[in-house]
Amino acid sequence: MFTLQIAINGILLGGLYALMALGMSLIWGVMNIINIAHGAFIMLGAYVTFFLFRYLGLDPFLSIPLSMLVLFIFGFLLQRYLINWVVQATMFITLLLAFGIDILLTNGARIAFSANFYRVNPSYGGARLDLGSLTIPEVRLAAFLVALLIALLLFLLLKRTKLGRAIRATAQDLTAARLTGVKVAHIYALTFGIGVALAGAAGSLWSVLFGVHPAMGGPLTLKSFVVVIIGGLGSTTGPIVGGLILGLAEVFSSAWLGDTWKNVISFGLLVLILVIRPQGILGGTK
Amino acid sequence: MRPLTFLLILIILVVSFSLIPFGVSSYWVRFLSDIFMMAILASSWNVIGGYTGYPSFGNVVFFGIGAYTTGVLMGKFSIPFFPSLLIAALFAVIFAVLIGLPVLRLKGHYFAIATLGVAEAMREVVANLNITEGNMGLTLPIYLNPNFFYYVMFGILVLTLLLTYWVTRQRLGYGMVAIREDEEAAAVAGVNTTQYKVIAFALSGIFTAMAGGVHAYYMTYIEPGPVFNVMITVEMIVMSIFGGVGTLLGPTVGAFIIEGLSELFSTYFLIIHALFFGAIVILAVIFTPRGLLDMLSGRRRFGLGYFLENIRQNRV
Repeated sequence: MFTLQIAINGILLGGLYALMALGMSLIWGVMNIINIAHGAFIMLGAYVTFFLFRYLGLDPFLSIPLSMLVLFIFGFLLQRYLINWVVQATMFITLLLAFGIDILLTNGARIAFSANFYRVNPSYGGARLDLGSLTIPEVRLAAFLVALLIALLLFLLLKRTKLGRAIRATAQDLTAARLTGVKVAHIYALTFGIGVALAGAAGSLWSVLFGVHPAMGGPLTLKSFVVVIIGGLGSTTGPIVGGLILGLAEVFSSAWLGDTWKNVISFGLLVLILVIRPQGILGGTK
Repeated sequence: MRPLTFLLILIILVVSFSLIPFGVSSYWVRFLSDIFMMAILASSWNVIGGYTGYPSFGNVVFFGIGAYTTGVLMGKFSIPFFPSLLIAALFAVIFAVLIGLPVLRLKGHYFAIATLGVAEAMREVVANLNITEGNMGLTLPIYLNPNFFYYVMFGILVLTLLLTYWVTRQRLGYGMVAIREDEEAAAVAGVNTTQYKVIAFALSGIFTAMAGGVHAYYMTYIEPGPVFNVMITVEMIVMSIFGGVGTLLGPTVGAFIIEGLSELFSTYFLIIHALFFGAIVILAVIFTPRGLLDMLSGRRRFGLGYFLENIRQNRV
């Protein structure tokens, strides 16, 4: 029973990891940019939810669309008027640019919002479902379901809409997409906006479960990497599988080896997967 | 660069920098020592990231290994400083070979992320070991002599530049550049790519580890977080890019300008100093992706058009 409880915790955590990584995977897959500032965007999303909760009393789950909208606009402008200037340069130029953005956002947040740790604690925060000897915190279950819902919406957007088709075409072949009339710079900006909006949603959920502070982004960027690498690029299911694997690996290693070892395990997993199967568990042949 | 020109530049630099500690306060001695350290790190990164074209995002792992090897040997086993430093360099080489063999098979993004992962994993391992005192941090014997650290750092920097200069004129150096330009073609032309890449990785580790060791002794107290900080890797790369990737003196020039500015800035504006570094990173990659040396080399006309052309080439 104890093992089953750990597994449930891991799966619920994994859903949130999957949502975190979806945005990174989308940007990486379409634009070939490793968005190292991803965690900083998650942090911004968490602050949007926190401020709306604190000053307007808005329910954190209801603030998700708002935090997504704010982050979408921010991401769109950032891509359109900054990243776009170097988007075709060698990979580590874009990687470094993302790092610069990360430094600005993280330190800007520290100056603007102070380095304090805040929690978003709605009245139902402690509620839990009891199933025999198993307990499931309701907030975590809700966060898990919201994460899956957003993943499903992204899947539909990419597969069923004209915008989705344009995004996929741009990802496959920039020149060919441009020749068929796709405005690639616009599509890049929209894609970046969507990816950052997904980070914002993940941040909103994170703020309810684990709180908010300016430096929270760094570890979350690394977790997103691990998830994207494990799952493999180029599909919506990849990050979900990767998220679940990371969630389970983390809770089991901290239950069996102690909490301080869980990061050793997840980074070890990252390097191992890269060496054995760089295209990820679900990725196709490269 | 012709051997004579290089030798002349080096002699002038060595003589003038050797005299500096006699004329300035210990604040400036420390200030320059920090710059030397970053110049060592950036020049070392340049060997694997610049000449060989494998953008390692985890080179700080060698810095951390050097710092901790030196720290443990001196703090726990009372081994003198210089032997500890050499053992630290040896450890870095062994680590580079063990990790390099699997990781250097990866390319581009995947190599970058893998090296980042290695560095992060290593930090967590060090934070969990008993011999390193984990997150408590490790204390070294105290030795307060800024001039000593100044000369040691400067000596390592000169060694780094000499070795880099020598390597780039050997078969090894040409092989590294060939791998950067086209790895398959290099392999077909008879370059043992695996061996060369591992050697380049080890070379970039040796002096990084030694700088880490000196840093540990100088700080007298080290923790896993700061010495394995990914920001150190970012600084190495930014300095290399700013000065000129794949050039002999570019990373050193970049280190002097960026570390110098950032240090001066942090003295006057403590809080927004970090914002300043972020802005520098962004401006450097957008406007000078080929480095300062390219900008000043006169190969292309310098001016507003130079920046606009860089942007025009890389945007969508």
